[in-house]
This record gives sequence, C-alpha cells and structure tokens, in this order.
Amino acid sequence: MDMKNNLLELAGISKTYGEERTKVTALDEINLTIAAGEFVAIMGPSGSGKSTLLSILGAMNSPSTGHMHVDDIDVYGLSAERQADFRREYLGFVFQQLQLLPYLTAVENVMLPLVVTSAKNLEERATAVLERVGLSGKLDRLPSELSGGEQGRVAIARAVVNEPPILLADEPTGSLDSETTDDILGLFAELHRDKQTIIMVTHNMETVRDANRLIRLKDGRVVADGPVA
Amino acid sequence: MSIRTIIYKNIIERQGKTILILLGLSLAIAALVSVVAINRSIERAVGRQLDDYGFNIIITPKKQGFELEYGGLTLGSVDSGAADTLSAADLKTVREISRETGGIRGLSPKLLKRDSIGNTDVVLAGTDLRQERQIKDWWLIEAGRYPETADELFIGQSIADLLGLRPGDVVELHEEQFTVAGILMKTGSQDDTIIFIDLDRLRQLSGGEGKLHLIEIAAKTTADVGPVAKRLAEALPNATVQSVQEAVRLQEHTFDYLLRFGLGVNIGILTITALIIFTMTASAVNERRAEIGVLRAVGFRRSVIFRIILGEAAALGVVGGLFGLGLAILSLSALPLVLDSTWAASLVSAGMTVETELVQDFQPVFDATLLPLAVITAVIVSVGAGVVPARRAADLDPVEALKSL
Repeated sequence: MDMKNNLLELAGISKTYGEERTKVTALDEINLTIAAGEFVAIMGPSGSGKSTLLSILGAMNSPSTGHMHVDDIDVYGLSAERQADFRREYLGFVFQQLQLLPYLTAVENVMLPLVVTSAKNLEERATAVLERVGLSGKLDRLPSELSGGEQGRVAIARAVVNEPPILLADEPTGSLDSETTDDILGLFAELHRDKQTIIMVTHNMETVRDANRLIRLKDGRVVADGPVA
Repeated sequence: MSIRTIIYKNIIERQGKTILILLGLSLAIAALVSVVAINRSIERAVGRQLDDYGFNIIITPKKQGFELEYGGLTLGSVDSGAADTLSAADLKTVREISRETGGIRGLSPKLLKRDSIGNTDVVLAGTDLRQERQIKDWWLIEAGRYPETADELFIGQSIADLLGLRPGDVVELHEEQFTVAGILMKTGSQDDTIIFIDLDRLRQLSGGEGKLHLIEIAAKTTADVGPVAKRLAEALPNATVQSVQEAVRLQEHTFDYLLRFGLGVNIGILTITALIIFTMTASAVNERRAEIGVLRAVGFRRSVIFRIILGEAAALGVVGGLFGLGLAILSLSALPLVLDSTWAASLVSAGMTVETELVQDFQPVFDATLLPLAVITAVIVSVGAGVVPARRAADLDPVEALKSL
C-alpha cells in the first residue's frame, strides 16, 4: 500500500449472508484504494451492496473474505474492543437518520466521541466545532428544539469532533428537504476543501456534485469507478 | 460530560420506567428494612425482659399448693403449711454443681413468707443479701443504701410507696424491729413488690430452719443456661428446675417464626421486584438499540456499554434503597401507636402476657446498619436484574442496531 497516497485499501472483500443453500452475496471481490483527501461517492440501486460496503468501511461488519487496511492497520485482524478504538480514532459517522441522542444537548451530542478518550477540554472542542458549523448560539438546545438542518449540522459536528482521518456518511440528506440538503452538502464541500477524506453513500445524483470520485455498485460488484461527470 | 452524565440524563429521560422501578424497589426495600427493624426491636425487648428477670434458672420444690407469681414464673404455695420446701442438702448440691460446671456466676437461696405490715399484705424474701446483690448487679438504689446488717431491709419501690416507707424508717415484724436501709429503684419486675430481708433472720421469725422456697441462679453466659439447668434437674429429682430464659425464648420463638415468615415473603417480594427490573431494563435496552449502535459506532467499547446499563441500575438501586429506608422509617415510626391500641389489646384478651409485654415494649430500632442494608440490597437486586440485559446491550451488533447503516 502506498502510504503517501492511499489512506484506505480494500483487497478482495466479499460478504455473503446465510447458509450454503440460502447464501446471498452482498459484496463480491471488491478491490479499492482511497487516498487521503478524496471525496468519494458510492452509488447504486437498492440491494447493490452499498450499505454493506459502508458498514465494512465502518469497521462494524467483518467481511467473509478479504482485508481492509487503514494506515497499515489490518482492521479486521483487530479484536472487537480494539475495533471500537479504531472507529473512535479513525472514523467519523453521519447516519441517515442523524441519530442524535434525544436527551443530550447539541454540545453534549458532539462531545460523545470524546467521552471515552483521554481528551481534555471536551466542551471547548465541541463548542469550537459547533461554531464552525454555524450553531454557536444553540449549544444547549436539545435535538427536538433544533430544525432538521440544524440537527444535520450537529450530526456532522459530532462526526468530525475527534478529527478522524475518514468521514463516513450514509445518505446524510436522505431525510432532509432540498434547502437543508444544500446546506448540509455545503458543509461536506467545506470539509473536503479542508482535506477531509469523505466517503458518502447516496442514491441521489444531485448530492454527489461536490465529490471528486464516484463508485457505482451493482450486484455487489464495482461497475464504475472514476471522476464525477 | 462523562459516562455519569449519560447515565444520569438517560434515567431522567425515561421517567416512566424510572418511577416504576423506584416504586417497586422502594416498597421491597421498605418491607425488608421493616422486618429487620422489627426483629431487632423484639430482640431488644426480649433482652430487656431477661434483664428484668435477672436470673436464668429457678429451682423450686416439686409439690406445690396454690400459686405465687415470681420472676415471670408461677411458683407454688408459700407458707401454706402444706408446701414442700428445698433443703440445705439441695443447696449444697447446687453449690457442688456450681463448682463442677463452672457455669454459675452466682446463686441466691430464698425463703418467701407472706406477712402483713399494718393492714397491708406483703411478701418477705429472705435471702443472702450479699449474693442477691451480686446476681442482680443491674439493681439501682432509689433512696438510702443497700443493707449492711441483718437488721436492715431493702424494699421494692412499689411496696415502699404503698406502705409510705422511707430509708431510716423502722418496721416491726413479729415484734422485732428492722430499719429500712434503702429503696430499690423500679425494675418493672416482681422485685418492686418485695421486702428483702436477711435469710437467717427470716428463718428465725418463721421457724423454717434450713428450709428454702427457691434458689435463683445466674449463669455465667447465656450458653451456660441450658447445660447447667440440665445438670441441676438430674441432680435434684425432687425439685423443679425452670429456665427463665427458656420461658422468654419460647415466646421469642413465636415471634421468630413470624419473622422468618416475613423474611420469606420479603425474599419473594425482592425476587418479583428483580424480575420486574429485569423486564423493564431488557425492554429499555431494546428501545435503545439505535442509541447503543450510535455509541458503538463512535467508539464506545462493549465494556463501556455494559457499564452504562449497570451504572443506571446501580444508580436506581441507591435511590430506591434510600427511598425504601425512608418509607420504612416513616411506617415503623407509626407502628407503636397501632400496636398499643390494637395488637396489645388482642393479646391481653387472649391471655398472652409475655407477648403483650413484648408488644408494649416495642420501639422500632433504627441504627446505622439499616442504611447499608437498604442500599446494598437494593443495588444488588437492581444490578443483579440488570446484568443479563446489560450483557445483551454490550453484545449488540452495531450494524443490526443501526439499521440505517
């Protein structure tokens, strides 16, 4: 693996579910390399394997075969507890339903990934990130007191607060209206300009406008991989 | 923010479940604390009764006529002319057994005589005053001093009040004069109604040379009572050997049975409470699958998830234990009022005198050990019930938990 360019490498990744007779192949021999600073969009129809691929990239779903290396770390060679440490140190997640904890304020939601680290000044760091996404006046609001767009910003702030090398996003605008979608995509573009590596799963072509690479999946295979047209 | 913040806020967020768990836990702990406090109260009341009686064993002659109450026991005829008495040989045997077993702290032979002072009937107890004082070391002197000569009397407070006697007063018995040396402070026992007199002097007055109506014996320890009483009964076939402690313990066994039943019920209540907590925690874990998935995705280890769920259970345990203790204190504080008015009355009507005294003596015992008992039990029940759901939460597959990913 070329460490100068490639941050992440998938080699021969396959994923099957079920026993022999009912076996379903979700991913079939995926080989990918993603360089630091890339903004990669993964698209494909329902059942193409994009969600499975994202969960494998997220160190949460062991592949049936193959290896994933990040920074020379064989991710699925780690124990379950060390995989949790890996996620904390290397990955940030933005979920489709945003998944903010309803009983924590905006700033507390953002602090969440830092709670189980030895990081100092948790609140200052979370506040700084929330200010960066334009929510400096709403730190102590509960998610229910924020608009959809604001909740999306909090979710992004939570994903980047621990400064992860890779940001994974699963249909981050799937539940948002068009105005809020523009708002959130603008934030992703801004993060990309700051050299953040982003991998986004989406089914909406409009949302890949700021990505610099598009991977298309079909039946668990990569059918296209190149710049966004 | 810390893990504690997440635990605290989650408890607050799930108010409905929290209140139900706290309610169940508080009631179960209140019941447990109440049973333990009542048990201790009765033990204390029994102990007080034993102290009141003072001695552990009474030896009386076997054949007896009409009855005389002494020391919580029913004794036979005294001075009726027909009653058998213990002899000097019996006393000698008792002394030998005392040396042989080493389990006797002191003994006091007694000759009882019904007499009258003025128009008032009194009971004279002729005894070795020095030995009497030795085995009744809890006696306090209300007025005057303890007798030093054979011409002096020591008088129970009730009979002293009845006769209007004070230290220094002279009393005439069978044309002989005795001086009241002191008044015994009220003990709540038969001693309050007795006039204590030197044994030999009473024998001179009554002509009962060498005779005794009873011998009171104080065992060295509670454990000595049984073996000593058994040995005495074997050596004195013509005498009745009664253990006062056994008489009281018999009543205590009745309460003990009830308390065991109470504790059994309590274990049932705690088990049901644990099952309720288990069900509610398991249900909460199920509701929180997505949240647990988020926590796992952002890097929370399984062990941290386990700690969060058990931390919530432990926090509810502490609060439930404190609430339960408070509830028990409130309800037990009101209990003596109920007992006085209802239970004691029913026991009196049933002729259960010792039980009645115990109930009337009842004062709830609250001591510092009840706090750890309540809190630790509540935490054990709550955390114990939460272990399996916490393990399930920790083992949740984050992908399954986060269906969106």
